[in-house]
Amino acid sequence: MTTPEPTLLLRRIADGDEEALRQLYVEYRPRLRRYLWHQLDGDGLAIEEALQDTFLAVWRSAGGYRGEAKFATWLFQIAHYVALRTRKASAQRGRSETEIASDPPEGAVIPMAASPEDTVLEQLAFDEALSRLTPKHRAVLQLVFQQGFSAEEAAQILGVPVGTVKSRVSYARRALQSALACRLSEEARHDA
Amino acid sequence: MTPDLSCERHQDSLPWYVTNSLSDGERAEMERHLASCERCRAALDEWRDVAAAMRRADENIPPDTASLTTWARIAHQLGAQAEPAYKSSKVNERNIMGLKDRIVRLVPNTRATTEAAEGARPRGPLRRAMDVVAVVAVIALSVGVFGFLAGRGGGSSRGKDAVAAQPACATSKATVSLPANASLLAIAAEGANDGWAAGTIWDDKSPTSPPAALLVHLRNCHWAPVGTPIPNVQLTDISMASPDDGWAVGATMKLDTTPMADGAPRNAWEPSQPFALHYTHGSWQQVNLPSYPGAKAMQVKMVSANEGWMLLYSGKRLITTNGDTSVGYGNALLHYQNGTWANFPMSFLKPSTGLADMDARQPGEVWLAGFDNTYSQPNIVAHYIGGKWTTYIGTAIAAGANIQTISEISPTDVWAAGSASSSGSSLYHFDGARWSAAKVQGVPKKEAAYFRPFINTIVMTSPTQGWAFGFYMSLKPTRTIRVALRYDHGAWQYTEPQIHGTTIYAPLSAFAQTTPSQGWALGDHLIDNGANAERVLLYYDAGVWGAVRQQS
Repeated sequence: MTTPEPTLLLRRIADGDEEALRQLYVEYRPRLRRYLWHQLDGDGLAIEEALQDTFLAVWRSAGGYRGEAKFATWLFQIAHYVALRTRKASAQRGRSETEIASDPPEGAVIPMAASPEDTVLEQLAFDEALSRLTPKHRAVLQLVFQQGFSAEEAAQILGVPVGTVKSRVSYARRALQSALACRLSEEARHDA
Repeated sequence: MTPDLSCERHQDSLPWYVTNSLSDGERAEMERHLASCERCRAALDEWRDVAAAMRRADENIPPDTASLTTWARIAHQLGAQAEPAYKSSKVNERNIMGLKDRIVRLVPNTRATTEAAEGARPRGPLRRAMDVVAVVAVIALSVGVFGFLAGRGGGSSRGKDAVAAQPACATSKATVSLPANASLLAIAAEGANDGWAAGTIWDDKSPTSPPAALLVHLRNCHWAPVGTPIPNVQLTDISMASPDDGWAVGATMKLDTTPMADGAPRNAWEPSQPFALHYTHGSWQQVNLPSYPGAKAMQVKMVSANEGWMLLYSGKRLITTNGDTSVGYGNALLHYQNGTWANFPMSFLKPSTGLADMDARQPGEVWLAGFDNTYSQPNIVAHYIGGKWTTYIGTAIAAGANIQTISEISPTDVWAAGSASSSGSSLYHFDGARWSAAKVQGVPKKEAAYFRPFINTIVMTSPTQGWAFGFYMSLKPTRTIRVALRYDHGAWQYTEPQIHGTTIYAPLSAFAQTTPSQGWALGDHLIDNGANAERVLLYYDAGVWGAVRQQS
């Protein structure tokens, strides 16, 4: 029941073994799809194109993988770059990017947890707040909390210093909390 | 001022404390700080909320229905992108989804020059789906071909008493004589002096030469093939209910000669029908199974001579539901009772569920483990007991985990393993009520941050003993480290198996214990400067792993 380890698969891919690429695809598609889903705002077509481009890039560059980075880090680096390029292309085609343009107001931070019965509503609010983050802030939260990468690995994937990763993840949390606070205050006004 | 600076530094690391990605040292330091800092504890709670919400955020992603379509597009473009120098021809059907397939050998592509021309024809899964349709003309191999396998070392006089009379075979002293191109896939031990291994003889360099089933028997501390290899048959698993009764399973194989785009025959061996041999009264005999065209038996597990389970797999196929096309895995389960194998319904099974492993210890009970890519958390474990199926899916086992292997001691003592969950654990225990992740002790300090192993095989030999085999990627320097995690009285211990001072390529698979300190296993190590991997029969003897000496 062995799935050969990624480095062996890459060596086979470098030798032109299509089956090895397929195994890699099967193994990593679910993770990459989840990552790209948030990165590309759930645009199914764009996600599939990005997955296709990512694995074609792996096919082309497998021989250049020298094991300096953990395989998953290397793969996500490619996927992140592809997502970046996809967003840029779609922005040029006039599709909008959703962003929170400025820092959250000071003092807007509120605790996120509430009573258990509110969990579903909270999650919906959280998802909406997450979707309103800039892709780079979403990316850092995803890489850390969904994909389990260390600060160093996330830095490698995003091509930024470790310190930037730490400040982005911190900022992203504040932005999320701020978005949630805004939403709650809107609801409070509405209820009143 | 100092406390503030310290807080800032610690708060910067809190996200990775929450995801369990700090080194042991950093973690300990963080815990010391948290114990005395209310502000950081409050921040920790907030990070935990973020982490939990981030994990839940994936649950709203719709099911993945485009996997195969996108792969078809990728495969279509490959022909134009590179000049394959090598291609695994026979490996093709054998290692999809990591389903109980353990062959790593690569073979030179005898059709390399035809690859570029093949681009126009759908390849990979799409073509496989087409091929499944094309398999209607199943070649009716003569039953006479399978014949009767007289056990050379398994004469009718062989029994428990006879075995007990032999001096115990120390696994490290054993020898083996395997024919050329033999690849063992499964192993079963019945005490120190008796064991069976099953596999296939397959000449990778000659694509059209048929595979042949191979059974190897341990007798007088020597592993040797029994009978004549059965042509056109692949064996994948073996399970002995007792020294006198057991089953070896696999598939009859047929050569698919469907022409490719350039007119050359495809020449790939495909499963034709599941196949089973029954060991009884000292010899192996073929037994008819229900017809499942295109399927192979992946696993067999005998609970007793009168009851057992067999997991079938017929490959990936396209499934269209309400206009959406997805991948299906074609698993089926057979149950052996009253001398007959019969289909056993799996009410929980969706077409998109792929089953990777099975275990059974008690009458009327079986565990299955696998995945379903339509779930955002794809792991699934199904348990049949008391006349009904119970399933554990996604976070009911562990968030982010991908279950590959399962081993049962009793219905309230089950272990499953696979890729690391979001908390970093790869080993999960079921106590009859809930699943919990287990920690591994003795991980080298410098590896603690990278230790998120992928476990391909877990074998519990008793409530207090067991093995989990797999690997993880380490940084500084970047390398793959194979591990044999040993369960000993309530704790998993980290070990890196070595053979003659060289790390076993592994992952090890198919461990069979002979005594509490000895056993057999199968492993691979790299040959030809890493181009190929070779399957070897391994022994374990009091903490030492080694390759069983080949005797010419």
